[in-house]
Amino acid sequence: MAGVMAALACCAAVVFRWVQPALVPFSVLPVVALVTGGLLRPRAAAASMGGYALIGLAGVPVFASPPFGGAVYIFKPTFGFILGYVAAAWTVAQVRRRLGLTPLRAAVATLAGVAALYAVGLPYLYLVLRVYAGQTLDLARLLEIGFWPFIALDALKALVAAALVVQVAPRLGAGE
Amino acid sequence: MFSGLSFGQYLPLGSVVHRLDPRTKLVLVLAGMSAVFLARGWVSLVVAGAAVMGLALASRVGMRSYLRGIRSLWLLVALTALLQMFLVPGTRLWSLGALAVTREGVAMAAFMVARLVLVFVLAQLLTFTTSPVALVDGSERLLAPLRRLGLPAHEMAMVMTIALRFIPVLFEEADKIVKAQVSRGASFQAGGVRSRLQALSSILVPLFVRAFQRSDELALAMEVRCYQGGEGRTRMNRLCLQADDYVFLAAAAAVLVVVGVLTRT
Repeated sequence: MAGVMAALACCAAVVFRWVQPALVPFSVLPVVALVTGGLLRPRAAAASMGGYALIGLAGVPVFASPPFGGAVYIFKPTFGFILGYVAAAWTVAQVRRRLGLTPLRAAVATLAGVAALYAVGLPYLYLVLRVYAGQTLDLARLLEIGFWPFIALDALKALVAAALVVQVAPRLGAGE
Repeated sequence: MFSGLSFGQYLPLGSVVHRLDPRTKLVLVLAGMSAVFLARGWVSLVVAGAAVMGLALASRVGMRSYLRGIRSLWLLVALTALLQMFLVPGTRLWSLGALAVTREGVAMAAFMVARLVLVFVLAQLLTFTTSPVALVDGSERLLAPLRRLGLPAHEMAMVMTIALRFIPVLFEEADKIVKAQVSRGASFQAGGVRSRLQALSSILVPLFVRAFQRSDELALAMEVRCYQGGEGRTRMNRLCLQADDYVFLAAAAAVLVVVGVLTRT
């Protein structure tokens, strides 16, 4: 119960992308997804990111690119990465619980989360582009548009998220 | 900045479509999308399209709003059209080096574009005519049968409703923290990536901690009041299908059948 409640809070915390553009020149959402995973139980973490995705689909402008919300977002090729946050948060939570809380181990967990993010996001990208293009794309091209430009920055974000988890968890008491 | 829950894309207009039960609207939109994707050939697409456009007109939301809503997707639509025009083999209309535009390609492009625009309009319709809370409510009821399979429908709905309520609260919280850090001399605009990241963590850490404190308090308050999940809960606003809902549902079923038959033949 308390776990679910905590999840909602994180879900809403995501929304502060509104204040974020003034602060940093890139999207901080992956960081939030990964931290959520680092702090909550697997189910709660996944539920919190799932709630985020659904709120966005219901029309609240919480997503990072125009039109920011609404059911049309499903047809954006990048929607898979929003679903990927669910998988990412869940994975981080799983790995983190197994490994424990040292900076290095937290980093392993968040990097696993990034892997999960792409594991969901890329196939979705592929499928949607296939619908639009009406034919198959080759894998190299897919990686070129959806993977190589972002992976370095996302790995960096994973490290930032790990650092945050290590800082926040002790302040929450047991961190469990 | 954002007080209350009125933000989002919902346009409260009070049309027939607005008054429909959120469950009906979810089903209508799903049926409409299936019809559009099922359609093979122009006749069936026109039938599906007429139904979609009829629904859009009945919603009394101006066509301009629909077009504005899908503005960011135009690039994709254009890309689709171009790819179809060049890549579908057939009779050449004109060619540009190795690339050739074919008659079949142009027809295919027009078909795909019509299809995409219809699907986008349907998705927009849902968000324009249904408030987020109503959507949450409707999807909870629609998904309730899946509870047996372990899908926590009520819990998900609760997560969303509370998160919606928490958005403005956390805004205030974030605002306070930013001001507190600035008053201590923190600077968020200056410096390289490294110092900006450090500045960011000076906001994120307290924000996460506050969010968790808030949710702990809320969880305690709910447990004290004997909240224990969806089992046996009553609700203030019961969803109830009206005559209009049945009419629209029947119409949707009819359109689906017609499109299905047309694609078969």
